[in-house]
Amino acid sequence: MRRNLLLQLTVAVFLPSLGAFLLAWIGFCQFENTMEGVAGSYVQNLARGAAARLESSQWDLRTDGTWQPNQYRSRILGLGEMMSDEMAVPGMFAVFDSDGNLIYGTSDVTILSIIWDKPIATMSPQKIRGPDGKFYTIAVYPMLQRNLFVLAAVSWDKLLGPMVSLTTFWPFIMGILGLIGIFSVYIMWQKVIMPLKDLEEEVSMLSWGEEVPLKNAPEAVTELQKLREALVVLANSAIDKVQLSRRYVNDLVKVQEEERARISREIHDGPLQDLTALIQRLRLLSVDMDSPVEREKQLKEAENAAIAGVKEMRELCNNLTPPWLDLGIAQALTELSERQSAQLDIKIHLDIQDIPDLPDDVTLAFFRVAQEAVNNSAKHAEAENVSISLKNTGKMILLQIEDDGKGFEIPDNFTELRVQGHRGLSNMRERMSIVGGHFSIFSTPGKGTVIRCELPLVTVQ
Amino acid sequence: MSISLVLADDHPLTREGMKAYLAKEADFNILGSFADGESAWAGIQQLRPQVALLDIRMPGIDGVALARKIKEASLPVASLMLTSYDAQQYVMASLRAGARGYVLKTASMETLSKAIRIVARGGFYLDSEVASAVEQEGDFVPEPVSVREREVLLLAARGLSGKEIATQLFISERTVQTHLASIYDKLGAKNKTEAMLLSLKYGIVTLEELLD
Repeated sequence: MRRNLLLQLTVAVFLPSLGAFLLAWIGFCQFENTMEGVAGSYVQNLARGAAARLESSQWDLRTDGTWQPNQYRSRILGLGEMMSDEMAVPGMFAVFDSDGNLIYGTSDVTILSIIWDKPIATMSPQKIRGPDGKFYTIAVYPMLQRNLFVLAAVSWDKLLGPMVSLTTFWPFIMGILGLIGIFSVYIMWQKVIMPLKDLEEEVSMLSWGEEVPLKNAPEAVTELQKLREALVVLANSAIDKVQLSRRYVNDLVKVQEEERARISREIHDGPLQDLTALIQRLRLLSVDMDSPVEREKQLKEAENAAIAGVKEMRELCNNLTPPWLDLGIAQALTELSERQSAQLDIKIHLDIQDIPDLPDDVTLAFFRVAQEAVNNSAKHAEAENVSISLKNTGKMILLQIEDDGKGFEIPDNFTELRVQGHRGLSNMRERMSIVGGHFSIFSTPGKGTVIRCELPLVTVQ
Repeated sequence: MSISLVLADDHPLTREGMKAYLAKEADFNILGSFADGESAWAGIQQLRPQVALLDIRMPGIDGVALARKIKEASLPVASLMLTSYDAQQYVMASLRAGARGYVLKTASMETLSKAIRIVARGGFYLDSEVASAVEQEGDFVPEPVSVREREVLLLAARGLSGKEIATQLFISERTVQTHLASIYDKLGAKNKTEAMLLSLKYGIVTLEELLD
């Protein structure tokens, strides 16, 4: 099943980002609790340990009211020294009396004395912020028999170090990642999904061959812009194609109409006039019945008019579709060259070699190409000599028409040429392609023209 | 008194036939015959015949254009179209160009002679084959049309629609249609063009009125 891109992006990027963000937050909270617990128990242990050592030694109340460690003092100091060592167990402790006087403390205990200024109501460990801005967990262990309090503390920095930084930065990193994810979905939406959707709508509504999509989508990514440009090119070529085929159809209709007009004109100017003349002569004959000389004359004229009419009709038929095409291509080309050389005042050299019987449409195609080519040679190229050769190469039938006329620049596009009203070349090419042949033309200004038609024997048989 | 003529026709056989026709009439004097429009125009200007017999389709200047040239140059020459085309629109075009008559090439010798004589007298002649709805006898006299009918016919001939005619004459469009139908009936015409041509032929309206 297909889903839309926005939905997929939301599922693939947006939701995981949001999930990561939430999980980071939950993890951060859990981690914080755990670390507090760890720090708390550590500090409690420390206080208890220090107190236990104190307990096992003797403290002496001096006369001035202060306490003083006895001979076991070294043992406590040992612990204190151990704790002040960077490489050893982190933490610090101090011993206060109930009035808050510091009796003993490890070397960095000044921080703790400040902390101790604040009343500590509870025995359970607490996380507080020290005067240096760092977090500490402290615990108090009362030594009630001696009216002493052991206060232990550990800096989070020292105990948990990198873990602290990680827990602090974790949600920020994940949050930023989540935001980047959300932002990238937005960018995708704005620069890809929306332009893609617009394009999809535009293209599906587009009537090909008539309209062109918008060329620019300012919001879209380069690839989409390129896609749009490619579509514009496609749409334009579709329009060109439609227009060309429309012009082509128009052209076909025009050609048909022109042909009808030509035939109509030829009938009017030829047979119709001859028949009219015949009627005139018959009427004159009826007037001149009594005079033998006049009668003979009118009869002769009437006959002449009738003969002229028949001739013109025959010529008309020959031009429309030469009946002698039935005799085969060799005879047709011979007839054609004889007629054209007389009509166009041009020398035609004909060379026809063992050509098999060709289908009627092929014969007609070759005939028309030759007719048109010779016409062009005489009328446009002003050639004096044309040679027509029709050969069977064993693989194909080859018709070649060559003239010594003035030649011309061959246009790139026959179709364009046709639309412009010059139909000869494209007609020849189309006739050959309809019967499965190939038409080519070679010409250089001043050096004559060669027209070649190749028809594979396979297509003939 | 003889009638001087020129003949313009590009087809040699019909031109010769026509000349043979005309030679039969003692009072016709053929001043010249031409095979194309240009030489015909030059000949007409030079020879000033009373009647110019003009083929419509000719190389160079066609017959209708020749008639127009004659009219525009105000030559005292009556154009008589002599053609193979029987389309009524050709007739109208020729008349608008100033031709005084229209005869088909297949017309009989008598018809042609009659047409030439009428046109030479300043009259108007129309071959019955191009407006032939009624009869071939030639003596048909149409029932007279009323003054109002004649008005309607003239306006219609000038190309006004039924609605426009109705507005101009302060009558209903239906009445206009009734008048036209009555005219068609009286003249034996099948359509507007034929009604115009027949009313010309029978002298109900004059060419000048129609082309106003």
